[in-house]
Amino acid sequence: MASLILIILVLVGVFVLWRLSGSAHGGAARRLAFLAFFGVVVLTIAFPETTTVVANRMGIGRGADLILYLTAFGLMFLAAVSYLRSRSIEDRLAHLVSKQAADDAVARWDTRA
Amino acid sequence: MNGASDVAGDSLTFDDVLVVIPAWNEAPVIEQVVKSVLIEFPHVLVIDDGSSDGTAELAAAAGARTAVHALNLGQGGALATGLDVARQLPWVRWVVTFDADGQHLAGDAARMVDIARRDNLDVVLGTRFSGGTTNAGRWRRMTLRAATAYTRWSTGLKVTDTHNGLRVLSREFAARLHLRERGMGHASEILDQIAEQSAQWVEVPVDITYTQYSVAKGQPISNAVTILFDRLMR
Repeated sequence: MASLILIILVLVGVFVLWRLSGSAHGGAARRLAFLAFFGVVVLTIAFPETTTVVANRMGIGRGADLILYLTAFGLMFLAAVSYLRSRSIEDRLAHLVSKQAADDAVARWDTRA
Repeated sequence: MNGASDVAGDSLTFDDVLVVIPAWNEAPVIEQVVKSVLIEFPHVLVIDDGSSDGTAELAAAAGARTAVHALNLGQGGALATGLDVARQLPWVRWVVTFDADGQHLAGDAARMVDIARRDNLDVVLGTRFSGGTTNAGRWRRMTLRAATAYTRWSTGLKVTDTHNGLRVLSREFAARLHLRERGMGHASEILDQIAEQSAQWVEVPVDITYTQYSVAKGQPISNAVTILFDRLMR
């Protein structure tokens, strides 16, 4: 049961990130997500036992395990996001390098021909 | 698909052909390669892919035009630049892609352009395996065969050599060809696009000279794994 929920979490998260990457609303949604994340962090600090209550409800024994799982997912998301971002930067950089070289070659072609 | 034909190499002039040579740190051989191509083709464009050994200067001194990448992008990126130049030059009817390490023969390229022109083809691919002499090692041959089997299966094209750098592309096909793979995956990408666009193509047997230099400079056989992985990740 627990693993099923966790898998769904991952899939939903990946799907959301996929849709958000490159969209204009990404900024706002990301800020809201950060707000929610910090809200949860504050809550768990204020009421540490809530993690265990939530964990038990999800079929996970201890609250610490729940936090561990969430941390692992967080890292996975971070890796995915930074991979997508670096690939997009690489693509844009390559386009720039290629375009500059081609345009320069064409310009010299005309003058030398 | 009659690859074996006897078109004379000098039946037409080649002043509407742009030969694109992607080169990365090929200083030891680039002059010789450029000169050998210039014997057949008047327009040779060397794409210097961020070399640090003066490849572009040597190519220019040998009589080639050059396009210089500020950074190394990979052979696919260099070909993309060459295609961009071809698109911007209105007189270009045919684009030839030619490896910089001296493994191809300009005469083969000339024969392939003649065939493309005669049969009004979109693409002519050089092949190492249907006839022509080959002195590839056993492992290289086996890896290339496996890559070929995979490509035949994934594109449905009955090619015999998937990773031959010698090709002729029509202007129309070159204009539609957008290479996203900057590394060596572009060879498979070109085949994908031939299949997708139902382009008219043939393979023509060509000679490949595996010199010590070209083998040292060429792809390690293990690159097959990288290429396959990158393709699956797209």
